[in-house]
Amino acid sequence: MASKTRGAPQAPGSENRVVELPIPETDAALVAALRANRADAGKTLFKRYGKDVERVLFRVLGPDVELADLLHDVFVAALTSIDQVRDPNALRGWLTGIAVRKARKCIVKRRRWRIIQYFSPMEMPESEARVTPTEVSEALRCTYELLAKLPADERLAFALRHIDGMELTAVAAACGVSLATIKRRLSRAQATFVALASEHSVLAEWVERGELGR
Amino acid sequence: MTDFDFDQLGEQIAREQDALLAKHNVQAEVRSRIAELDAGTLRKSARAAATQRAGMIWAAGGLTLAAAAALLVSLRGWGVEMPAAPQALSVQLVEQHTNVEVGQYVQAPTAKQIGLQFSDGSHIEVAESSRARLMGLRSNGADVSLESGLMHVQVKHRTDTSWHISAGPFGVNVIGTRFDVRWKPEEDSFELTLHEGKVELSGCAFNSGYQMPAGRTVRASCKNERFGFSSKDDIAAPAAGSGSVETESLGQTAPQIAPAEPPKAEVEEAAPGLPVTGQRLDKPARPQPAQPVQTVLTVSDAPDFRALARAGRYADALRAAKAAGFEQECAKASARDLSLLASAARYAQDTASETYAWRLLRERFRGTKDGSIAAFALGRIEFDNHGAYAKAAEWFRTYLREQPRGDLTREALGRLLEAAQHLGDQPQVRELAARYLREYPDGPHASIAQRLSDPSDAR
Repeated sequence: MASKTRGAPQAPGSENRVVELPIPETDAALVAALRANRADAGKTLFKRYGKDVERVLFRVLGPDVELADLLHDVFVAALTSIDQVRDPNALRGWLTGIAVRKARKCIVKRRRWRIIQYFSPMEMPESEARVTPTEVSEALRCTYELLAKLPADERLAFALRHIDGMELTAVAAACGVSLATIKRRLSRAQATFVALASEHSVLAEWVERGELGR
Repeated sequence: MTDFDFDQLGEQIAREQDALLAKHNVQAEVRSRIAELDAGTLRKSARAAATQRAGMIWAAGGLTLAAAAALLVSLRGWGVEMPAAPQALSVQLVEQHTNVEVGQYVQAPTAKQIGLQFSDGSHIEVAESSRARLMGLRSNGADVSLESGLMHVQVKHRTDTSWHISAGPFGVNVIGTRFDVRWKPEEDSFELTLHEGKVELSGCAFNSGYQMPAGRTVRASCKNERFGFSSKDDIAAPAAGSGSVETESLGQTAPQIAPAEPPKAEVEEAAPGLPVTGQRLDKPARPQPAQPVQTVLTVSDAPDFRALARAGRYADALRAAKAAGFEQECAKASARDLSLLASAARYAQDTASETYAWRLLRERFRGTKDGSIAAFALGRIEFDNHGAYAKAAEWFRTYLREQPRGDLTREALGRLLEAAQHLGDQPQVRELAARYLREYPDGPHASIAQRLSDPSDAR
């Protein structure tokens, strides 16, 4: 039985039909396809960079019930503003920038909400956590507990540099600031993190034990 | 504070997160949501919202003058006076009423033509057994590529019409006209019959632009760098006269027209299908009164390697560059052209020329993305062609250092892992394998990395 191959050019004489070719692998071609409203372009964008974006969001926010929604938001924002891509070959970096901004907005919004809650004890709608606490190690839970106490910009710098392993230049680009600024933020984040970790039951033990120390 | 190893903690967290991400399939859920989105509609909505926001900001002005201006902007924002943003043309298959999208091929069956109707009233018939591809749509025109066979094109003339038809290495800029275009890639044969209007031809023999009047048929071959035309009206016309007109339009001078008595070989090289009978090429000319007069011009310009490479004729492109002086061509080429030249050399299997072009690209465009790509390419050559794994590893490391999040980072890391394995550097292999699995758990080198990350298996 002949298999149905999508994307292969048809031989002369075959049925009268439109053959859809896969979008070429370069970012520039994908951007062109998105700008031309090709039906499969959004799907291809997600297929190509969905995991990268999800990873960046997870690194910054940790286990989070809104992860799927944020991931969706990032791609909606990307599809909406694809005309603004300056360098079509740097699509990944551009998407990372959107993801970082979305994550930051989420952090800031929750902080504001906490303040409102303080004055007006209204209930936040609870949704079921996708990642249950039993699956998360103490190290991970404690790390994000401490990161939640850092200012949003410092938290972003710390998570992208130390958890995602990004180069400083890439962190700076993703956050839309200079290298010097990101170094300052990172330095402050490290100092605060260690100070908080020393007082934390789980991480303090690690610091003292020197297992994570140099 | 400095005792704390953030990276080690981060790595541990990242590993755990990656495992969680793999387990909880957020991707599938979001993928289905994304698949339902219509990017075009999203962008239109966003633009409309931006216009409204702009209107609201203006309207917030306090001063009367500002308020009046704001009102005007708001009114325009609501579409009262604003001319509608130009929309790209759309195109449908005539019989099926199916929209054709950019990038799609249209393949006509052996016994039937396929009609494409454009929203501006233009029409293209893709002849039997022919294949065309829609390359782009604009508000004032479209780009269509004739992959092989024949197309009948009728473009509606408007003041700003911008249509482009490509056929292999040849291009046809259309303003408003009716013509038939044929392209046989296997014979390197281009033919265009212009019924009405005017078109501008480009590529290969036509160089950067040749305006063709109506009522003529032009035939050209890229390989021979020649073109010729015939015209019903020109039966008795002296070829020299008409030839000089075309020569001017090509930017050539009269002596560059084929000589009155060309060598026999030159006559034999005339474009396929073109009966060479003109007084200008063969002597004595055999009178053929029933046939239109043929004029064949020899274009003295050497073919450009860029056009040839872009047409996929890599060996010819390399030959053209060498004929023009390979080193000089490299020295004056842009980063993009150098990359094109290196790729042409690669596909023509000329490793020495490829290496030269990549090295020069790296030297001249150091610090750019193209320079980093050259580093990767040089690593690939060392690895694949010379088995020089230490040198290859150095190039891949260079790429990774320069482009930690580049388009080829995954490939460079995978190749570096392979190079380290060949060099027997076990600690390095394990480290790279772990890094690869962490960063690209589904990457093409993941299975190798998985195997090598286990010390008992690594040899």
